[in-house]
Amino acid sequence: MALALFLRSSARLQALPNLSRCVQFAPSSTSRPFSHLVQQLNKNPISATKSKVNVIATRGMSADHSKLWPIEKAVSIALLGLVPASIITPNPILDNLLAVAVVAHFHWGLEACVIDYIRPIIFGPVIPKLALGLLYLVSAATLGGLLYYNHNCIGIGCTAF
Amino acid sequence: MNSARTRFCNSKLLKEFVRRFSKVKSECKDKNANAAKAPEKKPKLKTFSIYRFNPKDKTQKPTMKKYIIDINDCRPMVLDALFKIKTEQDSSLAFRRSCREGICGSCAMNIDGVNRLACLHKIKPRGVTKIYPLPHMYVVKDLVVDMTRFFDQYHRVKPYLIGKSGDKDQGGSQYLQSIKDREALDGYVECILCACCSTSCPEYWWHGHSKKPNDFLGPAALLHAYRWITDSRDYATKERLNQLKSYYSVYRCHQINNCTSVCPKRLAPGKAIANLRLLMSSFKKKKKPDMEGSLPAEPEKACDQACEAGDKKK
Amino acid sequence: MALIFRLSGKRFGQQMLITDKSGLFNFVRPVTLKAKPALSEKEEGHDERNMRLKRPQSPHLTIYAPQLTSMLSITHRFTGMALSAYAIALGLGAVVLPESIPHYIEELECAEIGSSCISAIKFILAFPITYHFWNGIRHLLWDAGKFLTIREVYITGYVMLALAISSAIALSAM
Repeated sequence: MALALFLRSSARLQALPNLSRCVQFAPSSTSRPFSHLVQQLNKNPISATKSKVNVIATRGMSADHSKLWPIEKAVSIALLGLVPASIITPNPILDNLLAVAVVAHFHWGLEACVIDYIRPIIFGPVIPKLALGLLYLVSAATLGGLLYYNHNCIGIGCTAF
Repeated sequence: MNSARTRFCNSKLLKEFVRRFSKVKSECKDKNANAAKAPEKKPKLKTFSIYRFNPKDKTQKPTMKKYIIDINDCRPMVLDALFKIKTEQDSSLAFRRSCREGICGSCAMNIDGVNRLACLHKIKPRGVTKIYPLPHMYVVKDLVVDMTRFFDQYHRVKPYLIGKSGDKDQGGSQYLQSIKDREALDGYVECILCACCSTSCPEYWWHGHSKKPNDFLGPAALLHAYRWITDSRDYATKERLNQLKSYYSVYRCHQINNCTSVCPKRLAPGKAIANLRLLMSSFKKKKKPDMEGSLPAEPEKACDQACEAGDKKK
Repeated sequence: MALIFRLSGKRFGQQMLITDKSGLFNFVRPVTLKAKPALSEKEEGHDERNMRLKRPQSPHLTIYAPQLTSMLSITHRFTGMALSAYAIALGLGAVVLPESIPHYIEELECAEIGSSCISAIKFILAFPITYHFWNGIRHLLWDAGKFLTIREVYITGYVMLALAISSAIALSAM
């Protein structure tokens, strides 16, 4: 009987470290009933499907677009005036303003096109990012080119005229 | 013996009633006789081409199946035709439906290339009518699509009143709202969440199902977001607007306006989104409510309280 | 003897009771099982779930009827892309091409292309500019919250189209 008691108390001692884990609902002791089922529940189920389903990468665009949207609209309104003005009265200041406004406007527009059509679900995780990077490159190069053209050649306004 | 009964039986009223009743009876008899003699109407055949997909056999690709029915023997709406096909020809045809009067939004589908409610769209007598499920949605079976993400987007805009913080009586009292403030909600509360608008929007096609939170919420959810922001009884405007600021939630809308064109309740989600964007960039501010405060939810108590307040004013 | 062991066990248990914060400890062997959902919604997206269930996607571009709203909108996008191409060609061409841009314009003017052909080419080049310009105004009006009922969308659409075509003809005649 004493032996029985001793064994029982030692079992309790062994149970204690498992107890705290057990309360946090993740028992790992294999001696418990249903533990193998619980282990299956706790396993990450996505890992089984990852090989079959394409990993769809999340896009990291700005979390606060509400500050940029009014700027985009302001540039559009500015362009409404700049385009006729620089054609009617060509001068360097208007040409440079036009270059900056046009590049900004088409950059935001093409960015929306790239985001809409070159999506990770079709092209995978890498190509959309490459496309966006290429767009940034092209916009920067075009801005450089237009400013160079304004500076070294006759300017956009004069060309159109 | 001049009893009341004898007087009634002899009365002119009864005689007139009997005369008229027998006239109607004979007229009906003649009509039926004529009908039996008249030749039967020719059947007017109409072909429907319907999208079919069987989830039990996923190796088979979806197909278009043709059904021919007699529209002289069918009620006028496309939903009636679908029922006729299901009853008489192919009981495996699956489609959602409930009210049959354009108020539940269950029977939304793409008919002849445009999203409509089948119960409100009349059958065109000529040509082949093509019926597809709502575009760019995952098909469960035939014309039934997975609407989980659509409803989840609706839930994410918090479609319920959020009172002032620390408001102890929330749920136990009714918020006062003037008639003018309630009229500001007209054109937004009528939405039946049929998903015709969202599934007609190309931006929703490309971005509606993306992984949260980088998904476009769609015209329906955004209309409801605006509806709860404009409600004069709601006090969580700032939090609601902050929740929508990401690149994807609202700003994927490029005002294509397919949504406004297609809404079966003639609402304008495009307008709601435009107003929402003006609120988000602070070009427009939410108007202060005409009436503030609340009354108890029970009508008698509310009346008593209102009367007391009225008496005090005097 | 047995009593001593039993009492000592109890005290031991009480000490454990003090150290155990959850308060769930009793002298019964604890078995705790909490049901967890098999797939957390945060992990599996809508697309992934439906692809796992092998559901097809209903057709969209191939079956949706072209409407004035969507056709004018996609034309706005295409003309925008065309104008971007003009700007990129001008900007990059100014740097990359051996001769100056005016030189190339002179070459084109000297080349023997029929006047009707030239007018046609001018119209095709001018149309994106005028269409995008007038539809841009329509877009800005929408952003201000105006003309957004379906009737107004259609009316402004037709007006814009008329303006765009007529101004493109005017530009190509210059």
